[in-house]
Amino acid sequence: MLVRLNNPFKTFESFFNTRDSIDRLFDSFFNDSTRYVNNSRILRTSIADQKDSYLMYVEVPGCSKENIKLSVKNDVVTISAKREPEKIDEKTNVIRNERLFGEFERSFQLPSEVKVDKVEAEFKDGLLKVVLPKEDKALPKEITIK
Amino acid sequence: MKKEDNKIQRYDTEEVLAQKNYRLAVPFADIFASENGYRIDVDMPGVSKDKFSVKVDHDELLVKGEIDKTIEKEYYFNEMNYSGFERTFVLPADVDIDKIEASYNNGVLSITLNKKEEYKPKLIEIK
Repeated sequence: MLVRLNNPFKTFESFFNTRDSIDRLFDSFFNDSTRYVNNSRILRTSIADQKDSYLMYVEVPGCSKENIKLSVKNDVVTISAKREPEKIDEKTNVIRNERLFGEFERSFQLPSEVKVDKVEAEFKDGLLKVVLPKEDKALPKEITIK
Repeated sequence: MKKEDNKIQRYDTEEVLAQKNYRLAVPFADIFASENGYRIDVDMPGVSKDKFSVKVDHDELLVKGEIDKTIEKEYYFNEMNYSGFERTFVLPADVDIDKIEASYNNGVLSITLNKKEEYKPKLIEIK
């Protein structure tokens, strides 16, 4: 994977997080890069392996369909989104501002190449769902035993 | 960086997965105040309109929503390890609880809170 965000506090978090199992804690000592990361406020992504394809979810809240761009080249998926800030008149005060606005882009390298022509994307309720079928050579082949 | 890194692939136990299925994340929100009321914008991507609950209890506004997503066992990469969103906002005393409106568009829940009549600014004419 291309994206690896390391949080030095993640290991200690497990001590206090009862949801995390002990197994996970031990795992993290040996391979900390596998820890789940959740640092971004927009374009948070999940990628799952589904045997013959990859299933990808990207959060793009507040973006219209026209402002989301998805491109695939070999095994690299790039998502860019633009979120326009809402216009506020002079009499309105901002009490809390946690949401991010502007232009965002993220790239992910998948473990194998995908069929670029057969990538399907669906946008619903601020969540982008992308199905990327794997290239034939990436699929496991059954070998007949003589 | 290695192109194919099998170590990144995790297999969660059923137990971990079950716990994860019930995890609710705190959504990010913007709050605006104007003369006549307040507006709260909450980022809740992936929640379909019928999976929302917006509740008012005395001075607390509870916003909850479940994500419409199939949960996979084998993730290569996962930043969305939650099944929904939940957040409570404590309302100021000047909010009219009977006049709360909510709308949902492209993953953003927008709640409009109106002020009670007696709290709205009034222009006094000089005689």
